[in-house]
Amino acid sequence: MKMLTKFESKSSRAKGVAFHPKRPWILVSLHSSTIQLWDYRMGTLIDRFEDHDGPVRGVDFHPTQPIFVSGGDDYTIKVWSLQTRKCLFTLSGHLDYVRTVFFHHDLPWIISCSDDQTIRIWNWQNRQEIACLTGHNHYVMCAQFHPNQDLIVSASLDQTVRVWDISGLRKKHSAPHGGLGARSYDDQFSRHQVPQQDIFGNTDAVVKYVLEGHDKGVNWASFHPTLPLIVSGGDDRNVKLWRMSESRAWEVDSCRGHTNNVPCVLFHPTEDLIISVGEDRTIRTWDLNKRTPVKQFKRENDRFWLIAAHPTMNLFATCHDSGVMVFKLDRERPASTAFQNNLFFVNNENQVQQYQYDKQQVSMPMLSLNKVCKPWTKVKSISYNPAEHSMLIQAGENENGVYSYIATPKEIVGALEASSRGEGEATAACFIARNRYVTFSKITHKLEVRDLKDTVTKVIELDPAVKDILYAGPGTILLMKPTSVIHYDVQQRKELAELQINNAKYASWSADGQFVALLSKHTITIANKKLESIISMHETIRVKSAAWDDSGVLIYSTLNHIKYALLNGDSGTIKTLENTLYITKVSGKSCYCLNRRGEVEVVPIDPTEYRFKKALVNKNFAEVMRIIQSSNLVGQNIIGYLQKTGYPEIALQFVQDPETRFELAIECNNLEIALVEAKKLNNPVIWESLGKEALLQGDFTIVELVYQQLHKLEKLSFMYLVTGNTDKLSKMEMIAESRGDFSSLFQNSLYLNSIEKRIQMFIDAELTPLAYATAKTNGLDDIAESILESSGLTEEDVKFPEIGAPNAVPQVKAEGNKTWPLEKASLSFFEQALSGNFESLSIAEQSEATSSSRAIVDDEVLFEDDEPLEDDEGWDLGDDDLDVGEDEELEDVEVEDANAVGSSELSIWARNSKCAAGYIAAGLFEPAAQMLHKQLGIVDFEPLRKRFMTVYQANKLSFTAVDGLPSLKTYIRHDPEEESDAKALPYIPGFESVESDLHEGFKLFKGNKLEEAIELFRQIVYTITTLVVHSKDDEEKCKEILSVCRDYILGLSIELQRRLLPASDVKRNLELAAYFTRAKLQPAHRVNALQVAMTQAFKNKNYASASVFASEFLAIMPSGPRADQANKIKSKSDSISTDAIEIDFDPYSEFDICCGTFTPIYKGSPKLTEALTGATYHASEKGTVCKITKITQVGAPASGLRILA
Amino acid sequence: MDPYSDSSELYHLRQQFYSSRYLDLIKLDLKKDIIFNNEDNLYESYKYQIRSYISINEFEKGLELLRSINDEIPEHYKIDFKGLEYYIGFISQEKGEDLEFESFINENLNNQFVNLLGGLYYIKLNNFEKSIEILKKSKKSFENLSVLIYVNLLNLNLKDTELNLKEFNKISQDDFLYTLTQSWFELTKFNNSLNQSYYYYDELTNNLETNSIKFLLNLFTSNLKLLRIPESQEVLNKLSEFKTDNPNQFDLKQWECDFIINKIAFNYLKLEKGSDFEVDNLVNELKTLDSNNDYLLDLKEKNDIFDNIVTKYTV
Repeated sequence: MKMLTKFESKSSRAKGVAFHPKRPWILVSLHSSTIQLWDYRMGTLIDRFEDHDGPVRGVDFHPTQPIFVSGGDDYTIKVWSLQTRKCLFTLSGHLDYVRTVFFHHDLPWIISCSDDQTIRIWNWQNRQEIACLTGHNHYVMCAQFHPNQDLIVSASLDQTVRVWDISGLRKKHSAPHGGLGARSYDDQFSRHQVPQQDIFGNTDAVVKYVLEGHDKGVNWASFHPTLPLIVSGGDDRNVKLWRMSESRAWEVDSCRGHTNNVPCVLFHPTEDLIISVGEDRTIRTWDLNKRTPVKQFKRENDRFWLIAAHPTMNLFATCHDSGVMVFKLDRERPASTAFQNNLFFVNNENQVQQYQYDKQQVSMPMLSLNKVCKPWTKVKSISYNPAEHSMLIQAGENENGVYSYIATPKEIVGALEASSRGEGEATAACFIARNRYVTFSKITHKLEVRDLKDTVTKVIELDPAVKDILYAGPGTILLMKPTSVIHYDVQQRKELAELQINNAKYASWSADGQFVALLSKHTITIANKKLESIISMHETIRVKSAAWDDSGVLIYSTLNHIKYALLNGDSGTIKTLENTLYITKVSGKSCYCLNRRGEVEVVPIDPTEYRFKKALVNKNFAEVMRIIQSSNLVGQNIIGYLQKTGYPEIALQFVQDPETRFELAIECNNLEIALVEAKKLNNPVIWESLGKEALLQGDFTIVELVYQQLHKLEKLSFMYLVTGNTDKLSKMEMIAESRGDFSSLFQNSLYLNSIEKRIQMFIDAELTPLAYATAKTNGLDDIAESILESSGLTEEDVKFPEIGAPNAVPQVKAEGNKTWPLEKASLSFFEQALSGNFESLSIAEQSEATSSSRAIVDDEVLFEDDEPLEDDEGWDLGDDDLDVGEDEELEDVEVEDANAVGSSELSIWARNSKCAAGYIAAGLFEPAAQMLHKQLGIVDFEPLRKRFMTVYQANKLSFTAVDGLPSLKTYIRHDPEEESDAKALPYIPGFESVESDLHEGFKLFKGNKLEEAIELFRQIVYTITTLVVHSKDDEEKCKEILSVCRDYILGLSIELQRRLLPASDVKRNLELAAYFTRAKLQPAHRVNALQVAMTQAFKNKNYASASVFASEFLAIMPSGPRADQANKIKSKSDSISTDAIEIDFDPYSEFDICCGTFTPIYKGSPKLTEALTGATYHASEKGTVCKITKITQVGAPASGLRILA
Repeated sequence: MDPYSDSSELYHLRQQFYSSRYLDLIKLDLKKDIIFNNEDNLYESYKYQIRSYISINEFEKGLELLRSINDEIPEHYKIDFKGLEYYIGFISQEKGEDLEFESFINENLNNQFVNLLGGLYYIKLNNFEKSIEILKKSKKSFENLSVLIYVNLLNLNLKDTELNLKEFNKISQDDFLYTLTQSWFELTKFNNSLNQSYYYYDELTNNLETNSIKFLLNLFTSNLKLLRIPESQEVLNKLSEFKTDNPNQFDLKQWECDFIINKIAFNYLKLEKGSDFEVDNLVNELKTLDSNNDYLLDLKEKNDIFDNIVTKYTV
């Protein structure tokens, strides 16, 4: 049994608590006089009620009405409205503290009890006290109605528990049904019976039983919900169980264990458990049938005061010194496992049942697990092995955790007692293969791999932080740590991947095993199989379960919703749930869930929305079209989504509201629809918006309409002007004239070049000088004269500047109403498709951007020509002797099994390889050689023969399937987990050994086995030449090793040649000894070279050189016997400081050594470089085979080594 | 065939046959050691025994057994045994096309067992198309389906392999032969499938009834593919233990050849010194064992190609 805390609040001492029957609310009454209303699911304080004076000890929600009742130390009972959040009325009558208050389940009654030693019953409808029950002779600590009978149970500090019969009270206060004439015979009969009376003749409520047995005051007494049982708790620290019959009641047993007063005790609503709380800071559970303790939960500092049970759910609330806590006992998630069409699950009777998804049929129970689990432990997980038709059950927590490996009956004939083939202690267990399972204990941190005989085949000590394990594909599991999840290979004891995530508890793998959803309390993280996080989402409501639907969408449930999540992070709600469900599978429109009663529920869901979104995200437009045409996808949510994701044209299809339609039409540049909607709306803002869009698109018809609607005559005129519509411009002039709008008329006359009209306008506006000037400047002298005349002036009276030719506004060539697009607004794919124009559409073209895997599959088709070309059809492509280089496509390569229907592994390798080694492994030696020749200028391949064969043979395997028939071939990939053919590469041996080989070479050097060392360094060069590495770092490392090999081969070759010299050739001897010191050997090795050079120089009286070498020697090795000798040589040489033999060596200048002639190449001298190791040569060595590699040509054109995959 | 035939009277015999424990199977006196409730199963068992003789190249003994029961063979089994006789004749003489057998096969195309023999016959002749055509005629026969899957695998026809496996699964109810056939497919694959096959062979080799040289070799192959070196070595140890404990276990030449080929790869995987030398020895061993082995022919071909490369680029 496990206590799972769901909610905790901190406050002053909490004395009373009550659950709302439907909503996730609790009332908490505090010692401080406050009543709090909490939402325990969200963890929020909804309201506070403060009307009591002093501590409030009792609270209760009405089972159906939006009211609640409270009773406190102010002797009052208050009834509150949940709607107005106000106190409706106060019931007064008690003469001391009110201890508890409860509503009747059916009648409009409230029961209260008090330190005034009475129990009172109130009618909250007429606000009257209807009964006062006396009899207790000390404080009455608790009084409750029976859940379905006319009984009351009370507990008092007078050390008694009393059961009261209130049937008289019910009769008295119940209206007769259907009037007098309609009374039933029973009713009439009972009314004629003499009612039971107490000694005072009181018939309303009489004491039925007085239960004595507690040695001290009794604090609480509760009825059993269905059985004639009472449980009580008292200051004698005992919990007592009482039984009632019609005529008597007696004590059944006591549960002893609390070490302080027991203020409250009750029966578990559904299980045979008693739950008590104590001032000893414990909550204890007791077996109702055995009266033995089951489990206790302790709080450090808080005394418990009260416990209440939720009327319908497995939830309890307790009050303690520092607040309230809501918890449940044990998980309610039924253990289950799905395999193909079958779901195996554990029902609430602890039996395994099978459910067939296709038939939607549940079997009768097939196995009973009662004997497999320890008492009061729940089955946590089942793992199913289809090959063996067996199951692995794990039940219980911590020390109580056990696993059991059991066979599943072939035929289901009823709940057979499960017989275990193997069992033991474990907190988690699952199959990892058809013949292996693992068990894990978080107590010992051991992961044990077991075979089907339950024999441990391997024990792995895991990190203590691992709390749980979950199946993760054959041979692998997920290690669940508080801050991370690790993908772990059990066989190899290797961590494959790790994801940082807090408190993940459950995992749901997609059908193809490519994705995993990791669920923690409030977070869902979707990762790929390498545990690389793809999305992470937060949920305010607790996440309960998840499963992947057929199309690869994650469907998950929270406490009260079924939701979906797409891989791009889009999510939404599919359904609201009344009760929490655990999703096991989603197929089509059915969501198969398990409820907390251990039953399968098939919840119909509408997958349209998420499938639609998925299609849209994947740009699977064909599917989008199909959904649009075949379903009624509506709602603001989806419209908002479409708008947000840039698909307004699709949203347009789902909208009726003109305003939204108009906005969407504008957004997707659909003027036609926008105009229709604008006409409906006929609103200046809408017209304005339409006009703006139409102008942008150059649709002048609509712009004209809009300007007309908005009476924007100036703009209209200007538009007619720029479009050359002179007719309409004339009309505008006429309109202006008729409206007497001089300004407009003036403007139109300007646009139209109608001078006379303008002159007339000036005259009408009494602007005669302007009229005259206009006439004069435009050459209308007659009119000018007549104006002068009418003004009584002559030309001499007017001073007029000199004027040139008459001005005129240039006229636009008439364009009519033709649209003049300013902004290209082509129809989208959907607009065309939705308008029924499918002919010109190619969905295939649009859906190129579908998933990469599809693209890969389709590659060949995509690049295939419609018609095969016999030749180049006259094109001179200039490729007759084209040298394509290293990335050259390998044409017409005959790969083994080329006739095969499927791709052979070798052709896959050839296709995926970028390096020569990949081609070698694929058996394509010629292209590999070609590549090496071009990259490195290799001309002598013979030394590489062995390496070619090694690379080729190292990855070929063969096995017998059918005896006597040819063996099947199989291959070793670089990554055995790489399933995708598109990424498959061969296993190439060698990289792992180059470093150790290098050290082996050093050893040979130290051992003076110079020829062998050179040979080994050369083999390393050959290995690296035909290698594939998978990271830049490794590539760098290889290149570095190549340089080291080059320097050692060079250095050692120089030394070898020196040793071969005749004694007479002193000069060359000294030179070679000097050059040997210039090889870039490791310091520890270089001292040897320096020592040789120093000794030779000293011997041959080249003291100056000897001194230089001795100094360099001492810089590396300053002490020791060899250093002593060097010191001596140096001091002697320094005293003379001359060279007897002149050699070609300048110790102070930078130079390379020609690897062919072993002579210096000084700065500025022409030199050549070999492509593989970078060995340098005099230009004269061009065309020779490199002495270092023995395979490459000096100075050959080369693009460089490529070994990175 | 009874979908639950794995629990039938032939269960152990089939298991022995498909585990290649031919000597154990041959050892049985079918009339004394086993009581068959269904007489047909006796003749099915004889077929397994005769085929076991064929598998270990004891053709004469196979024929001998066939002749010894010839008179008692019920009418409805006559064609099956006749077919076996033809098959022995064909396979023992290694003479290539056997026209008489071919016409027998064509005359009995409605007989599942003859179809199986026909399928095997044409595979031997490298006529895979014809073999597939004949095997396809009996899609309800587990073994015919199994061999059909094998041919498709051999020809790298993975699509049909998967399709056939699905069909097989539908009728097989997790039959031993189905799982075994599936493991061949899985052994050619990677990741989860490869892991599945590893566990399957691990299971078979841990079971005294099914442990065999052949399965140990397949387990070795799966470990190599998974790049598991110590585990591969462990299997090699197990293999030599098995051979020591079961000295009378037959070691098919074909398995030995596969073993050598795989050991070559293993040598390279181990990265030990002197692997080249060891590989040379292994190649020589293979030459001694089967000089016409495809692997050797391939190596020769590759060496020839290499010779050309050397000549081509030499300056």
